[in-house]
Amino acid sequence: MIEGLLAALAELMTWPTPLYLVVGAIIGLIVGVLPGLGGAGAMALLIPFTFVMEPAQAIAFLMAVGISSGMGGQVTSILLSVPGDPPNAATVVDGYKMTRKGRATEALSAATFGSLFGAVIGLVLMLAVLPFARELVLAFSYPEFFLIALLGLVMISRLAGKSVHKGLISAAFGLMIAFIGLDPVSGNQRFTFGTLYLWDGIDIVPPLIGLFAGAEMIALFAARSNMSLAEHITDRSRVVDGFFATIRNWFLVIRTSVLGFAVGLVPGIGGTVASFLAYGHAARTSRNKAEFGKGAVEGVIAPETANDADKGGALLPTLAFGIPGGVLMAVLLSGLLVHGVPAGPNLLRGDLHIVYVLVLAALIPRLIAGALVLLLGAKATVITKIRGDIIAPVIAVVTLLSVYALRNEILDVFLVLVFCYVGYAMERYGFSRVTLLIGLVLGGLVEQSFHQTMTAFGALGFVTRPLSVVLIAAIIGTLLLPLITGAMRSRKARSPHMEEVR
Amino acid sequence: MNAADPNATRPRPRIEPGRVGFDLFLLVIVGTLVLTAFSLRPAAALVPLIIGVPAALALIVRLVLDVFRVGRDYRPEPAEELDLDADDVAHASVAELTRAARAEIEEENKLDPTESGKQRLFILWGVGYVVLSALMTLFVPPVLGLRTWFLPVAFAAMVVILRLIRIAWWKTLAISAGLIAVMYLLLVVFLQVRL
Repeated sequence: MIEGLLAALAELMTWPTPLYLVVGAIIGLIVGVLPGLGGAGAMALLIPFTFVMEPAQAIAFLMAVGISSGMGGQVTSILLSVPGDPPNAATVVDGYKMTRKGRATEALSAATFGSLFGAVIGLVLMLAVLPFARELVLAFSYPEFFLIALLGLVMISRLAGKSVHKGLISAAFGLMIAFIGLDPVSGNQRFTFGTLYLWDGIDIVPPLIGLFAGAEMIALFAARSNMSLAEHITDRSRVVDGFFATIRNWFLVIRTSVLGFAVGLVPGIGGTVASFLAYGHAARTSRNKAEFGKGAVEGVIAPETANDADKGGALLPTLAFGIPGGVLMAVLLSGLLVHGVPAGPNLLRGDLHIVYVLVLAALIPRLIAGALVLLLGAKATVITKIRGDIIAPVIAVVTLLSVYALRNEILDVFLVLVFCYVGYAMERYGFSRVTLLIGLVLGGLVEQSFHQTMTAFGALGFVTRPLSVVLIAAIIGTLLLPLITGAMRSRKARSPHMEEVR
Repeated sequence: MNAADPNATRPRPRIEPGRVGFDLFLLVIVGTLVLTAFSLRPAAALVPLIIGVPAALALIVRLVLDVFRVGRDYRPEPAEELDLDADDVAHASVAELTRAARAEIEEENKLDPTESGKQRLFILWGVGYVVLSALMTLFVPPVLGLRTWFLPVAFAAMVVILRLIRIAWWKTLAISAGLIAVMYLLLVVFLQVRL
């Protein structure tokens, strides 16, 4: 493993990759600070520009953008009381109070070091669990590949939104779109309606850009730009104050890192839940409970640590099973596919080099972005003065031209528009965009492994292998457990004892 | 609704054309694929039918729920939302914290009428840009050695949108011309894309 990490480090330090990492970290910080545009949207937007890069460089660049956006988000949470991204919302409570008390630099520093420690612990945990995941993956055969893909879709449908019904519809819609193109069994055209454009299926880039970047550009254009730095605030704190506060709270850092990692492991939950849970945990276990909500530094450290440790956890199902832990990982997975990197079980079966590249690419940009945040401090908020309604059309034109430039195909541009509408409507009406994307990504695997199972084992192959049975139980459990617990809860509420209480 | 008056009925929310339209859009696509699958060879149709038929049924149910305005989307929101007050958080359960996190994500997606109007304007502008570029490419010979009208129409589109949001003329022209020049240099000159 050490040799692998060193080889990956050598690759990332080979020119021009360091440049891509720095540029990615800066872009990530900017989009994190800007309201409306998130890390996942920015990653989707930039995928067309990565075609001129080597796969490892492209993956590192995309990772740098996605990872650094969280750090940009913490700047606006602490200085402006406006979370750049939803996972930074829990930081607002105490972070902004610290700014009001003249401790802005301490809060930024504590958040930055918390993020760094959280990221390191999350990635170390990921690397520690990886060999076991690899063993598991090596024991998989066709039925398990099919069922793990199905489990991932069911879990994300269940957890990524409020409605399971809409989640499952999104997943099925993604799968159906993935079936367009040549049939994998006979090689005949299917769902192409006589057009040559659909012969190779739907290319992942236009849907990805439409679903994520399109909806975010629309939001960016309409975003209110009424943020202003808390006026006349004198900052009396120093970077070292935040650093020592993080060190003093080392046990909290470890606990919230483990919490964040565990949350990240479950597909569909994401960093927002991790950071809120960590904030609640810190508030419950702190010796200074009374300080919470009034500028407790633990209230900044805990959510930011968990939010970054979450990425380590989310990386594991993404790499091991091809099931992304969240939106960021879903876009990263698409980036891997676009560059011909076989995400999922096939990745762990082969050379782990790209895994180590990803791990380091998740860490190095954080160091760059962290250094920038600490250097710029309050000056970073100048980015929020940029008007979203000017930037959004500029980005839209650049994106549409780049999408056309990829294959010189006008229909790709129209497809972006269609998926823009789909992404926008899904956001608006409570469907899950990420579930659709996962369906689109996993469609090939689902169909291929289904036919391979039928050929190699017959229909009984799905239910006769122990691992398959476990996966089927997990699928059924994921779908039924919330119904059972809900029914039990309402029965408990209606019990005679509760009636007496009422 | 007044809880003291059991006969009082909650006004039913009106049908949202956008919501129902989106259900129909999904249903038309999935339905078309499912119907097409019936004419395919069994091996090619099997998996699409396994996924597509339940999906089409689920979409019909979704459409019915949205047309008749029943289901979770139309139930009144619970009165008590967990506000991220430190006292609440210290005593909140995992489920409540998870709800608060989800509420935060939903809060980000809420729009006021001005934002909604701006979003519609931007969508119309985007569609207009692409459609006009495609139509011009189809029917008018491109200029300046280009193969399509995407770049020249982008200049016009930028001018239109920037003027609509009341950016000064000189800034509008500078931003539009600068953007087109950068894209021309990057794509046509350096990357030799046949734009």
